Amino acid sequence: MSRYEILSPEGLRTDGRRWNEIRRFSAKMATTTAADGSSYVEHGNTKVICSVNGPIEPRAANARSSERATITVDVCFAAFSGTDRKKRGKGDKYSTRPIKSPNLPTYQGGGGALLMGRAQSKRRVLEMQSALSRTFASTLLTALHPRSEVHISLHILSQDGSILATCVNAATLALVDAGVPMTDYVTACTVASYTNPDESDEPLLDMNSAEEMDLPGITLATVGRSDRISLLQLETKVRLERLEGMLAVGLDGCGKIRQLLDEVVREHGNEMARMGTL
Amino acid sequence: MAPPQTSQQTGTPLSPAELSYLHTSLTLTPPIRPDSRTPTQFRPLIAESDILPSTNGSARMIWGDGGECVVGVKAEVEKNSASTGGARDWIEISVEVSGQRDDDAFLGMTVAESLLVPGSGVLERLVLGERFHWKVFVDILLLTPPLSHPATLLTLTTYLALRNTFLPRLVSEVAEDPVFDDDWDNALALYPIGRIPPPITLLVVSVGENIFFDPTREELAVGDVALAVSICGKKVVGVRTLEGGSGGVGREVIKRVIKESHEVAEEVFGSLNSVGEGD
Amino acid sequence: MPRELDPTANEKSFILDALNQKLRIDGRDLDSFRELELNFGDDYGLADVRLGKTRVLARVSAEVVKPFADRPFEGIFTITTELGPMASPAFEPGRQTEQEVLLSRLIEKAIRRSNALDTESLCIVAGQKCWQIRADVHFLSHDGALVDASCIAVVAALQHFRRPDVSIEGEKVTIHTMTERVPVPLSILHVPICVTFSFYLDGEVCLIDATLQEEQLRQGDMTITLNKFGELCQISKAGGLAINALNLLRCAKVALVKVGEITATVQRRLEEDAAVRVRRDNLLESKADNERA
Repeated sequence: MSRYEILSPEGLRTDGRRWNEIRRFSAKMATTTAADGSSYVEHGNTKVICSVNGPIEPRAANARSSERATITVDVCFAAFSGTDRKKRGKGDKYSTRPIKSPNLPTYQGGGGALLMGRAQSKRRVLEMQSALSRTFASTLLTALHPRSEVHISLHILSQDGSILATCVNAATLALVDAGVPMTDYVTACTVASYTNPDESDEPLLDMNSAEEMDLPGITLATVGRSDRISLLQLETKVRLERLEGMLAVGLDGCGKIRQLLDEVVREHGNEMARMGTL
Repeated sequence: MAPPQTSQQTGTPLSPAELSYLHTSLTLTPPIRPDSRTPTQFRPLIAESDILPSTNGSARMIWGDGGECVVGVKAEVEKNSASTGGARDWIEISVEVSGQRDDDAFLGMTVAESLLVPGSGVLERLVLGERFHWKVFVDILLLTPPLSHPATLLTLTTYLALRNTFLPRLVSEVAEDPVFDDDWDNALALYPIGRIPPPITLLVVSVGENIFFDPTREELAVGDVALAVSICGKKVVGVRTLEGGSGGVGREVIKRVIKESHEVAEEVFGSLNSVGEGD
Repeated sequence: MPRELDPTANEKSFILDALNQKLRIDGRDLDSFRELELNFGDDYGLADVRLGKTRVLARVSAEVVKPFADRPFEGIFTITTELGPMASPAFEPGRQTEQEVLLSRLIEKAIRRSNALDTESLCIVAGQKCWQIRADVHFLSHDGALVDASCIAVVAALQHFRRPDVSIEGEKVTIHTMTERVPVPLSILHVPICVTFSFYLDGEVCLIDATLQEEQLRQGDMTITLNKFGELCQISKAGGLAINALNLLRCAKVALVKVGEITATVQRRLEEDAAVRVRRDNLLESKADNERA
């Protein structure tokens, strides 16, 4: 796809959105009774299921800290989540615990960020898990639960861009549902930087996978209403001057997501009050 | 008589006295189940179909006890090859249990076995001309295993996903490379209505003279024998006993299980087929 | 599993109190690097980087392989890293820890994914033969800032490296030895440099090139990769303390200045090394026992 198709001259993107629109967002809390907290988030065609267990007794001995709760994250891409079915081999699953494997070849097969060699995607998942775990470690009041573990398990059922951001949002909802004490919502979104034909730049809020493939972009997560950024990732080359514009749009986007999450939480609370389960 | 089991053996948090009480109340006529269900009644469940746009068919089910299962069906065009196991390999099923390192091959095989019942006509619908065929991947993701046996949850979700699986219509000639109609409204169902549907497996437990559908873990613990009944359309295609029961099973009970399974299955099919119709 | 020794309570309060007054225990400014020492080996493609007590060695090598089927016109570039017990007793050999995966991902995103090396120039015969360039990073001593140091080592080694010249006549490919023809440098498109920031005291204090002790005490960190043209190659702030957006932008500006300085140092050292080589080669050629043509 040429980059001019990403934004039409009328200012519409491939899926008909304007530059500052986020895709359809719907979320549910407490989807299953088997975990302490759970959520299901649909962000456009990206769909993520999250369940949270904790604070529980640490499953691994090295996850125990006498000062604070440790946060472990498992991210799992369903085999049917991408455009092509992912061929999985044995032992592709692992958790935030250290993995025992020799140095792996680092070639990235295929073009896009989604079509990666197995070893590569394994490392990418590990990176995601670590980023998520560290993001929530700074927002949850972990010091209240020493010697315990909060386990976040994320399943990506369908991928269409902004996966890390959707994982953050889903985990936030599930953590709220689980009642793990935290200072505020952690909300995340993505921003792309689009180059107009006249070389001026234009930030596009909330990338889908086509935009993620063609444009440089950032994923950022903020804490609460503040403009304090706890997670920021950029993986493609972009001019330094554009960062400011992207951050501004991203902060605004995170604010919008926060509002949406807040509505979901409040609605869930009202529902619980109605059902008398509160 | 109470079954001589302790909580360590059954994995339930019930004391022997509680198990005995449960056993007694289940053997009464009419029986009393702890959650006041009738013997053929299922626990509440949530079922959704067509949830994933990137698949050919998908379904998600959430069971009353927290069991959650997502199934995605994806089809890819593959060249015929003589070397492999032939048409039996055209459907590949994998079961992934969240939190477990290795896939549960046994569960996958159980489902696969029942899917490939001869005469269902599925394999014929996968043929694409002379040289190609569809390869169907059925990926079952057990997000949280149910507290009781997962067979029912797995097969019901798989049933729902397969029922909603559509493959693009072939427009090219038999000998050509396959070309497809890109209008999804013309797509063909993998299991068209009126043909033999995918099978499901129901769990039945017998306690004394009574039989119960969709048993809870506690009911399984006190049951004499647990049976997995596979039903395909209007036929019972398999009855298998599960381990863990405390006694044998009489011929009469089996007969009744099969008879009632028919009725229950019909209702189950009816309600599952109506999922997604409201859209 | 062995662990890095945590700073004692005394050290901790001392370092943090000092940072509160914008002082670092080694006397540096908050935004200054330790002295960068860069040396090259006798062979092409060996770079030895020292940042204070941190020492990283990068070795670049090349071999001819078949390109990947889905990229017939491109050569292959791999970076491998291994944290061994030589760098710090906390690292076990043969065991890839989370820290190591994250470190290698960062270097990889900074250098390989930003296309610092022009892989298309490595193609010899499309779909048949190409160069595989391999950068091995060895960590010799760990005193913080491993990412920054290894990134400098890799880009310096890549620029220093010379691969044998190749000539193609019809189907025949000849690889000339180093003495036969002057070896050719790699085509480097830009020079990315990583700068890691560490945050303390709820974001009040932000410093670069943290030592190991400072790393252990930090509340959050962020690695920015830039080249001297002001192109961002990669930003990675994976959680940790949440930082005000304006502070982040300020960090990026500081990083740009630092990247300019480091690129200049690397360039100067490369030129010095080249000058030494020319002098040495001239000396060798004018030796009396050389064969006369």
